[in-house]
Amino acid sequence: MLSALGFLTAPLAFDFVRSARAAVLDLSWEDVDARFAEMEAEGAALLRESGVDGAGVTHTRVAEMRYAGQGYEIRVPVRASAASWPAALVAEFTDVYRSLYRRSGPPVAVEVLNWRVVSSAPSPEVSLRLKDSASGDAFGGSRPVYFAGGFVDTAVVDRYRLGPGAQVAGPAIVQERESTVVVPPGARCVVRGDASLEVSW
Amino acid sequence: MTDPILVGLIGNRLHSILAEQQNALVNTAFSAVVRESLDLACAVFDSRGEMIGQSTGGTPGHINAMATGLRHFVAEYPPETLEPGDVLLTNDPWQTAGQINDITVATPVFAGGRLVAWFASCCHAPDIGGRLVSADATEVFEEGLRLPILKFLRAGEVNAELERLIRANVRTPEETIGDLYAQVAGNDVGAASLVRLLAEFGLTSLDDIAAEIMSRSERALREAISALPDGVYRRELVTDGFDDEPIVLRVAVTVADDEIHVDFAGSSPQSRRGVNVVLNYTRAYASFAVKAAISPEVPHNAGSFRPVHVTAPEGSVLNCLPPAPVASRHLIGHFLPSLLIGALPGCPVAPSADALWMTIWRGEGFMSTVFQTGGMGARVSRDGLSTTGFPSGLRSTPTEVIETGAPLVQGVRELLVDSGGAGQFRGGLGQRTTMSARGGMPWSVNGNVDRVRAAASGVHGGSPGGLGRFGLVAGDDLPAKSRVALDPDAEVDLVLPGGGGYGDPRRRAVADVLADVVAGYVSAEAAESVYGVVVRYTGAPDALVRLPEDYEVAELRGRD
Repeated sequence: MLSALGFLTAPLAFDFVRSARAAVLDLSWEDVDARFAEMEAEGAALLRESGVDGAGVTHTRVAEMRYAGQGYEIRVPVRASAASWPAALVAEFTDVYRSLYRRSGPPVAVEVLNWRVVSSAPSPEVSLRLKDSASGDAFGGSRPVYFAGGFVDTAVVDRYRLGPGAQVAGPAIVQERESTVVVPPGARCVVRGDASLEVSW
Repeated sequence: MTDPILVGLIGNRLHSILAEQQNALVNTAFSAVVRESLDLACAVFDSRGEMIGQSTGGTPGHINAMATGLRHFVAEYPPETLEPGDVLLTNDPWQTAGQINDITVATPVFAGGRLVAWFASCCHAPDIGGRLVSADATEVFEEGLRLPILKFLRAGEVNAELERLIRANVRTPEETIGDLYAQVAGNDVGAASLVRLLAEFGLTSLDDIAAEIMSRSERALREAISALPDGVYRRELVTDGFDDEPIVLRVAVTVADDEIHVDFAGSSPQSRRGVNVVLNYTRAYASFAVKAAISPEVPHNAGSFRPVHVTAPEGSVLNCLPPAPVASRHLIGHFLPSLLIGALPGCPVAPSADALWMTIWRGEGFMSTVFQTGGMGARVSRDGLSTTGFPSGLRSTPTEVIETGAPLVQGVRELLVDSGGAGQFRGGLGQRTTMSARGGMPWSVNGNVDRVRAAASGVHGGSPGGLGRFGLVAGDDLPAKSRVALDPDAEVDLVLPGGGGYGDPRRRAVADVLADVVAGYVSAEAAESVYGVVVRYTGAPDALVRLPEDYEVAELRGRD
């Protein structure tokens, strides 16, 4: 668990996986589509039982694939249809493979090991705001900080005292008990309504 | 003067880029040898071919052989003969890792139109033709397809004729070629990240920073050597050798101020069979041993080699001359760390099983290379690790991988009781395994194994580790390091040797002896006769789990 807040605000979703190893060219679209549809029906039913209105439910289809003979798979989105099968999936695999490993593999068959569906409810409407607005002067001092080639006198900002709408110009260091945010020279930091920091440059 | 903070930043970033390179290589590899046993090494070099850093997880024989071997690529292909997208390869034993199966793939990196660095990896090809890995050959020409330094890719395009040539010469074309593609991909991933890194820091060259990274390691190693007492330290070790000709390895380690000279004069002459070691591989394991023993935490790069000088007489088993056969050279090379560490003052690690066991199983429609590891020697204040590839760092092939990749069945795979050399600190345990084949067809095995005759000795009063065995279950021993035909119903016994013990076993803590008996590492009989501790089980005879409190312990007289 990386973020308790994220856990509370993420959309409700269920993951399904079926293992069935086969070369892509040996599979018919009807069988593949039926396997996905079965998992999607399970997902829709589970979401319904969890109180989610069917309207906004989405299903994402993924195949875990590799070149036949390899030991590790990559996840490839399945957007194929009857008309584009199987060329579209092979092309999608090659694209994902290239983006990860910068070139395609040797001329051998492409296979699928696992078939996945993620059934998701719509993102819940969540708006957060600070319980107590911050007070006091956040801009307390400065210290020399090393940036690209030399030391720069850098503002040190107390995050607990930064209220929504506050702006910090880089170079600056926003510090708090849990973490430190470095705002590089030339960057701007704005405190949003939920107290999160948005750094842009 | 190079900015010291920049040196630290770039050094750390290169480390994570090397992890990217290795991950891309392993994730796209085809052979179990590479993706399961990690018989590989990845490294980054400056524009002159000096190694700046290595990935973690590589095997010393590959890493160090590349570190001192890349200069051959640089000499053969000066920058003006290379363009972006070119990739070179070779498996020349004398220039690189000493075995014709080990293929080094090197990729020059260009930034701003200049050659700024190299990424390279070395992997053990599952097959390269020839006689299958064994010591059977009498000349290197019998051992497989020898590839001088060649362009495998030109401007990003695979050299199709070279690929066809390799495919036609090997038993496992999809795996051998697939692994080469994986090596190319790994180098590419590393190169792309390096180019981004240079752009981020506005650098046009890596060489000055690389030089400082190397100098830091060199200085640290020199300081560690200075702390050793000057002198000449000698050691001798006997290995099984080939047939009934044992091979003797002798070393004289001269420590003088901040330099070490390792000389292997007096070692056996080169063998007429393929256990010979090229000097580049001898240097690889000798340098590894020195660094591992005295300054393991210092980042490893070309600087680590500068204070360490390695010599061996030409024509000896540790500096063989072409066309000597070399396929099973690791069955000698892997002993060098035990030999060298044994020579150093204090001898911090007892001899280990040392040589990786590499068996090659061949039948109709399959060929499978299986790695297995015996026990590590006990250390100055700890037990040796069981079934751990020291010094190779390689992993045993999992049973699941063996049995899904070929019609082979591993019937037994268990730690072998009492195989760890007894001592105040116990040697790591070996393992007993068996292999049989499904399908009722004739098959064969090449048993590249050692320590079936000469056990790992103990040190400072410790006992030797258990001997290995290579033979038929309830039958005869089989000849090692050769191809052996097997009957369809044969069951092969492979007993991995244990590591040597450290110190007098009668000084081993009673609690440790009890723990070993409870775990099944030491028998109650050996606990009494060797360690002087009587351990008696008092719990229910049919208990599923025997807990430590179900034992009675008594010390015999004569223990410290």
